[in-house]
Amino acid sequence: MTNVTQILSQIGQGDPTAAEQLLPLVYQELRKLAAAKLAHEKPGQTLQATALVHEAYLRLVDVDQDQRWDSRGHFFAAAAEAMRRILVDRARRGRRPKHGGGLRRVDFDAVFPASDAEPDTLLSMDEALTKLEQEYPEKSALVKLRYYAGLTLVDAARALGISPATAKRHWTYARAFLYNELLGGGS
Amino acid sequence: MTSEPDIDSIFCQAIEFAADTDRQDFLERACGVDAELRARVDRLLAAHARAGHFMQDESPGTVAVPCPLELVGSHIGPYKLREQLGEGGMGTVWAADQKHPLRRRVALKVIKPGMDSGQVLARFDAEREALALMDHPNIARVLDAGTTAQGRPYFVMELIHGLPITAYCDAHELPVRERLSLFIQVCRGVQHAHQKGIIHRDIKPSNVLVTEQDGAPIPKIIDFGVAKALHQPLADGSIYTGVFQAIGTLAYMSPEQATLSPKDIDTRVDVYGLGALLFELLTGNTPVHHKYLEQKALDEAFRIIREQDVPKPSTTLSSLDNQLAIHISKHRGTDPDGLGKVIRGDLDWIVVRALNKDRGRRYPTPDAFAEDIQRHLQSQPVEARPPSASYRLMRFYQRNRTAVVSGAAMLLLLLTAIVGTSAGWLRAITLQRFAETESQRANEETESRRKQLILSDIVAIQRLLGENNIGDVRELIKRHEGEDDQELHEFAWEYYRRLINELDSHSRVIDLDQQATCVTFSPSGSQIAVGQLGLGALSGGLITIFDADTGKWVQNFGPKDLWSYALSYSPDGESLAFADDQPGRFIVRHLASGHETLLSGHHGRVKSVAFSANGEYLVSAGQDDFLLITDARTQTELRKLPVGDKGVAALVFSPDGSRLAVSGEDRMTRVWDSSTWEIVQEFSATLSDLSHCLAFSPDGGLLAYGTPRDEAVVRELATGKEVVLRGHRDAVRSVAFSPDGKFVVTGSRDGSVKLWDARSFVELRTLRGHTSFVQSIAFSPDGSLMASASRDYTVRIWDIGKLMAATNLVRPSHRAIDLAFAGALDGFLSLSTRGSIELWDKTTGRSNKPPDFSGAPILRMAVSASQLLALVTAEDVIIRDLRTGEELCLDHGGRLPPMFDDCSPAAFSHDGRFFALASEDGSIQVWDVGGENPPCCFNQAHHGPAECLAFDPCRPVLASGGRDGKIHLWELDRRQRIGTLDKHGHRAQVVCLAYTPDGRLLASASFDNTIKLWDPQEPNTTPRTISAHVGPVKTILISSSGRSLISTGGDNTVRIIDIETGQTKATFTEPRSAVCRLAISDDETVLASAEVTAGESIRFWRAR
Repeated sequence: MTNVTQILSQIGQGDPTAAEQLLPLVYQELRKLAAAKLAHEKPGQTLQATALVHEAYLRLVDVDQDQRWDSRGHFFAAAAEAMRRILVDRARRGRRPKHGGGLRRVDFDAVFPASDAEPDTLLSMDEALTKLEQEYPEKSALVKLRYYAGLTLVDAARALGISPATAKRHWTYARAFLYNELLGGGS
Repeated sequence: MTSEPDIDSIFCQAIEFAADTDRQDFLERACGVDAELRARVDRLLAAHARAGHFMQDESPGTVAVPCPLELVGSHIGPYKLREQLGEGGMGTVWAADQKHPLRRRVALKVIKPGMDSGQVLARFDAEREALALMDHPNIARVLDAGTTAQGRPYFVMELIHGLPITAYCDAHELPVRERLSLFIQVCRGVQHAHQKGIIHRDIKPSNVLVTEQDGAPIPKIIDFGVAKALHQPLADGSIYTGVFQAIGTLAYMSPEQATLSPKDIDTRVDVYGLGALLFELLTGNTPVHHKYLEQKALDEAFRIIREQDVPKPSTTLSSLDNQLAIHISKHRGTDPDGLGKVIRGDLDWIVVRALNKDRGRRYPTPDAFAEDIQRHLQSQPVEARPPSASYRLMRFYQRNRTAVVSGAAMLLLLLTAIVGTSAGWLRAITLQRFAETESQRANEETESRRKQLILSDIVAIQRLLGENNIGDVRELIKRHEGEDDQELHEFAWEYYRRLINELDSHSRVIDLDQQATCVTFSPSGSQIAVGQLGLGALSGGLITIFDADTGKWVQNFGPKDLWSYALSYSPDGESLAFADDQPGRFIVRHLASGHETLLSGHHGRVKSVAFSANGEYLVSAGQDDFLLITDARTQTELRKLPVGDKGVAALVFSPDGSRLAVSGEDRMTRVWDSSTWEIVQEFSATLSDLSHCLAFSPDGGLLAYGTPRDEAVVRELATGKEVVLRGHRDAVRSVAFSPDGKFVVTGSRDGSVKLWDARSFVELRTLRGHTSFVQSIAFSPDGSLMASASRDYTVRIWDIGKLMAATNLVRPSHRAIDLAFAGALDGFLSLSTRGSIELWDKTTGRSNKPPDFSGAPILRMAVSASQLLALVTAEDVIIRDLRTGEELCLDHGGRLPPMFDDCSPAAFSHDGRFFALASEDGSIQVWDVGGENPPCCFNQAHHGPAECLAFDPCRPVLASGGRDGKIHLWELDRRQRIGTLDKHGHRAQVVCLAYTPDGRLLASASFDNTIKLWDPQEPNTTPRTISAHVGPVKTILISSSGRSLISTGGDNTVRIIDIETGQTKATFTEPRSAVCRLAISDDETVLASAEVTAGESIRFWRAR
């Protein structure tokens, strides 16, 4: 197995290619984790996306070696992006007619029954976020860290290397921006 | 959608306005007439206002969770939510009703997302039994735990209607005594939990609520078991929960918890937490400022908690601003002075003890803590004492281990000094030192960083100078302008800075549109003609005339496609001859009228053209095999002279016009007598191949030429003797003699211009400033200006007067064997092989009349800082006070031991008290010049004679280095040897010694090619070795700051070395000069070296 800790350390040392290796690894781990949960957890058990991300972190990263916050930031950034894709993917499929007939698909989709976000909301949100990303990459990174990886404002600020005050301003702005987009306001 | 850079900040400012009218006003101003911008901001503001709880709970799983109001009445497990009590870092607290198994109102804390609820519950379950056993009036019991439908853990506990203890005390303006009474109860509660095996781990004001029973305040500790459940245990190695939870409570966190995977947590973390709580109860502040920690990266925050010493409460109080201090004191029913008095002393020490970084030094239990407070309340002596000095010192060293290594000598000195003195004094000293160190540490860190920056820039400057990249050097120098760092006052930096300043003040630049290929002054010196290299059509022609004084453009003319490297003024200055771009032709232009005469006669391109000295004829040469002599007035061909079949590279008349030198492409140089047109000399360039430039000395006796290698050659025409000038890094493209004949100037492809002494042919100085080939050099007829033309599109005009105002190279009447700076005489003294002394002015470098030193030849001299000069003759040692001229003769019992042949080692102590002299017979004689003691003699000090001597600037100690490679230390009061520095010592003779001004380091230079740095206080420690030279090291000096070491060695370099890092800060290379002695002026602006081999000269490097 590719060592995620190692990749984080490479990112820390400024290896620009290392960050690209991170996303697929985290993505796979998240899907695997969800599938495993589905297989072993009691029926009706719910699982939160953000809790999944954190669990993936604990499983993938050798925490004894990885003591630096900035590398953790990289992980959660990748995980947030992975989780965003997973959720969007799920929402898209949720809108399509089921395929596979009557076969029971072991899919981790089923582990998110408690997600109150409607598929349409998730997809609109994703579109709005993409817009935000184009205009304000840092603000969108902050939103992803909070929204998909469940980091607090302070943690997200640390992960991005910005001050909590700046993070708060970004957040306030991003929130208005996204809400405006969801309302169809555009700009 | 386009991105508007300030929409973000307009929006953020706009939402700060409470009143709508203010906001509208602001928006009017901020958006102005930009309606689109205004519309976008308005839409965002509207969205902001309507967003409500959109994304407030930032997880997609809970995006649409209803807002709290809607939760009222809903169920979590068996609990019905009633009202939201608060929201904290960890989650939301609700008042809820329990129906089964009994009806009661409870507090329910729902933990924020991000936890694995299964693990949290498992950990809670592990403690559930112990928690159930707790029964104490000051503890709010935790009743239950579970998971919400959304998968979040929650805790159920006894509902307390109360305020956090700090808020309660402030609200009731409780004085310190009453706060202490409440606090003692908190200690008792924690003690009870500890007895049941429960550690709280998160004691802080918000976890200690004060409620009232029968009018009396009762503190209740909440959340027992919660922190533990939320913190991951060690076993599963997971840390993120700990990390995430930590954020809110860093200010109260014990050092042992302040790590990403806290291990070995015991009850004493709660003692620390209690200490932090008491700190805040007393001062209104946390021990480490919360905001301060929050701004840091987590590991940095952790490091601060682990390492930064907690201030005393009274210190924190006194550091508050006045307003705040009054406010805080008022809450304690007193004023700042009164509060300070109450806290200073016992309470300070009690808090400091509880907050000790070393938990073994805290109170062992909350009870012990409470009892000490009780003792204080009862005015009994408290158990807490000031932490012992030795302990603090120890901690200091633990933390600063690396920094302290260099300070080890200081410590040892300290420890040695305090033997036999009272412990109290020890404490005073060490504590003071400790405090000073603490406060200086941060400063020192930034200082050391800045020094590193400067040093790395110095390294870059050395490289850039080698590349003649003056622009970048200038940038690097500028970068540190206005900074105040000792490193910028060291010789190396000052030297580089002067180099740049000098360039600006001693030369001016004429900018060109094309690359300059040749330059010449008009005979009157008022104009400069510049030929340029241009390809393709150019409007005005490629020859430009400038005013020599102002550098102003005068006129443009000439061919469009110039490739000639020669221009020649007629002696009357009215005409200029130059080659045409058409083959076979050259032109004479009358400058005033612009009339041009076209001359032909050549077959190939004309390369060179020159007027004869009397102006009667012109000589031209080119790609064909003859010289053409043309009558300047009639433009008729006078004669053709054969010059070999490959053409001519360069031609030049001697200043008096009697000789014409021509270098041919056939590598032959021929000299004609211009009256007879006979060749008087013909030689092939033996040392080089081809010369593209030629120059006669003013008297016509010397001919200089450049070579395609990195050399120039000066040939004495009468004898055929040649001297090679070495120093350039690339081909020499131009050469010139100064009109006074004192120096030769060469310009090179390497971009530099070098000035050479025309007698010794030693390099005088290098002029940098051009960034490309220097193609041509010319002097004004009076010699006051020199022009250099370069392919860098500039001509530089150099002010020779300024350049030569201070000479860099002097020739003593006889070779100098010793050098010393004498501040009282404002100059350098040199001692010659003949035993005579000369004085050289510090500022100008010129010879000054030295004081009268008549008498027997002087064999050796030494100058003390106190301006005593010692003169050693074969018979006597004479001490002269340079300020008063007084002299005395040292008693030597009638006879001096035999001196060295060359230069016997001698040394004066800094204060002039001692003078030491080593003899060929191996003895060292020391005179007590200032005192009454008879001279003493150390016989057979070394195996063989001592080679060098140096006095310790701080102690009466003399160091001697020997041919045996050893360094001995001699105590002069006791007159005995006190140590030998030979551990990992030199493997060859030690030839020079120098102490740093603080006496903490002794540097030694050896023929084993190394410099070693010793701790003279610790003879047994291994020295640091600097291997900067590639040959034997001969002389070393140390700057007065003790930061730089100046050394010279057999590799013919003078190096300035940073003592701390061993890094070379400057290298002066003189390929033909072996430097044997160094001296530096007392203000460290001038460095002097005595050179042996080449010119037997004394050279000065100036830093100002």
